[in-house]
Amino acid sequence: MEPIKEEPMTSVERVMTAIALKEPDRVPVWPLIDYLPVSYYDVTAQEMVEDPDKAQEAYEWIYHKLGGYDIAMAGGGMYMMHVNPFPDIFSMYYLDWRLPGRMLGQKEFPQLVEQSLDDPFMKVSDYDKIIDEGFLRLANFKRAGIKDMTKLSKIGAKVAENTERWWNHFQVPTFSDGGTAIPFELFSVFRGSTNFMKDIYRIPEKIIEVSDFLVDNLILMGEYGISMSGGKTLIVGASRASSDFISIKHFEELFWPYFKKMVTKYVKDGYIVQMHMDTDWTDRLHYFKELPKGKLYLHMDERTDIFKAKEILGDHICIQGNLKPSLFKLGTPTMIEKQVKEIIDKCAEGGGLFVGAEIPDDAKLENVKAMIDTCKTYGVYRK
Amino acid sequence: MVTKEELIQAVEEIEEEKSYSLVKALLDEGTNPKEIIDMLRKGVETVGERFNKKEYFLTELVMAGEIFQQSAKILETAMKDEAETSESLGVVVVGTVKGDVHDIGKNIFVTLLQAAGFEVHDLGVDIAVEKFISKVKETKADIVAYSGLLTVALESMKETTEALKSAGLREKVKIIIGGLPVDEMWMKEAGADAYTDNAFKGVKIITNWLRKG
Repeated sequence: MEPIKEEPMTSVERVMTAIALKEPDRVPVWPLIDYLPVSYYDVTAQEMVEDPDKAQEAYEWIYHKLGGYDIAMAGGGMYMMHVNPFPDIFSMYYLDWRLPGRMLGQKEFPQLVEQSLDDPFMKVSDYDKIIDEGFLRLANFKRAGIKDMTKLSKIGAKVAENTERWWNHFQVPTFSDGGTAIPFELFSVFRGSTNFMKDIYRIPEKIIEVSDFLVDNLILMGEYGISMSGGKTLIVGASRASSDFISIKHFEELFWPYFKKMVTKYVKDGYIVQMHMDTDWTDRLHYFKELPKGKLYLHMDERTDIFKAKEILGDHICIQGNLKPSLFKLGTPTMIEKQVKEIIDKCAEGGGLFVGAEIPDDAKLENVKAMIDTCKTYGVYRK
Repeated sequence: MVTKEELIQAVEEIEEEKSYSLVKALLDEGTNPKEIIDMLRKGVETVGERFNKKEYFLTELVMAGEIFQQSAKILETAMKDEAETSESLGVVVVGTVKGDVHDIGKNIFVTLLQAAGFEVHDLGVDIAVEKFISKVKETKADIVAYSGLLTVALESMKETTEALKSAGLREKVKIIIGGLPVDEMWMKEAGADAYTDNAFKGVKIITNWLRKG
C-alpha cells in the first residue's frame, strides 16, 4: 500500500517535533491498535500473532481505512513479545498467556491469567533463586518448544522489514520495537498482584536486593529485543506502582529508582522511549521531572489527569493520552470529538502533546476515526 | 491486659505480626471470639476509610484483608466450640464474567465482603452465564456482582443480566458491576443497579442495600 501524503509534515517529523516539546503542523494522534483489524478485516487473531506478513497487511489496511495516523505497529511484533525467552510480562515462557490458536480459538484475543493466590508462578523462595541461579531458571522452555524457538529469528527478520517499511516507506514511526520490564512490575505480575502486595509489607528488603541485582540485566535485555527488530522505539511500561496500587513511600523505595535508571539509560543510548503508564499516576507526576527533558513521551490512560500532567510536565516531557478505551466501543463520534477538543484546548499549546488511547479490539471504527479526524482538523497549530 | 483499642489500632497501622499476637493474647485472656472479630472488622473498616481518603492504597487494603483472614483462622477453633454460628449480612455471588480473566480487584472485593460479614460465593474468572444462574438459585443470593476489565466483559455482563431476567431472578437480586473501567454507561448497558471501581466502596453500596431491604 502507498503512503498517505496530505499534510505539511510526515508522521515521523510530527512525532519527533512533539517529543522535542515544539509545535508540529498539528497535534499528532495515536490510536494504539493491537487486534482491531480482526474485527473488520479478513485476518484471525492467530495470524496477527504468528504470520507477520498477514499482520502487516492487516495493519496497513486499517491505517488506510482510518485515513492514516502517526504511530503504527509492525506486523509480527506480537509474536516477538510473546515468544521472548527473557523475563518479560508478555512472555509465555514465564506466564500463563492464553494465545489465539493455542489455548484460545483463532479469533479470540490473548489474555494473561493473573497468578493464583495459593500457587503463583513465582514463589517467595524464588527471590533468592533469581540471585543464586539467574532469572532464566524460572523460565518454562517446554511451553513454547523448539518450533517457536526456530521461528523466532525468522519472524524477527520480518518484523525488522515491517518496521523499516513503516519508518521509510510510510514515514510513520513504529510503536514498541523493543520493550523491557521494571523489576517491580515483573515481580507483581510473576507473584500475582495480591501476593506481591503482601511481599511489599513482609519482605521489602528482599525486593530491593533482587531489584538491584536485576536492573542492569533487564536494561540489556530490552536492548537485545530492539536489536532484533532493528527499530529505535522502546516501551517501558508500568501499571502497578501508581496510586491505584501503592503509597508514595513504597513507590519511592521500590519502584522509582529502578524506573528512573532504566529510562535514563535508554535515552542516553539514543532510543525513543515511550513510558506506557496505565492507571492513575496523578499524585506522582512530579517525579517524572527527574527524567531527561524533551526526549521522552508519557502515555497515560483516563485515570491519570492529563490536564495536571500538562501543568506539571508541560515544559519537560511530551504527554500523550488520554481517552478512555471503552469509549471507543460504547461512545459516539460526537462524544469523542468533544473530549479530543478539550484535550487540545487545554494541552496543545507549545507542543509536547499527542492525543491517543488504547483501542479495544472490538471498537467502532467511526469512533476511532472521530479521534483521528478531530486532531487533523481542530488540532492544527496556527502560527 | 490487652485492650480492644490496641488490636483495632494494630490492624489500622497494618502491623501484621503484632495483630496476630494481640488476637492470641485476647483469646488467652478469655475474650469472646465474636468480640475479637468485631474489633478486627473495625480495624479493617478504618483502613477502608483511610483508603477512601487516599491516605492508604490498595496494598494496605490487601494487608488489612489478610490480617482479618489469618486472624479468623486463629479464632476458628475457638469459634467452633460455640453452638450457633453468626448470621451473615447477606448472600453475594461474585465472578469475573465470560471472556475475561482479570481478578485482582475482584479478589480484594471478596476478602473485604468476607471481612464485613457477608456470605460470599466466589465463582472465579471467565464465568459462563449458566454458572451465575445456578449459583444464584442454589444460594438464594441477594446480590450478584460481576467483575470485568475488557470491553468484551460488557457483552457478557449484558447476557448474564438477560439470563437472570429469563430465569425470573432479576427482581430478586440487586446487581453491582466492578472493575477499573466501569462507569454509568457500563452500568446502564449491563442492566445493573450500581457500579464501582473501588472494592471498599462496593462493599459499602451492598451493605446499604441490604440495610434498606
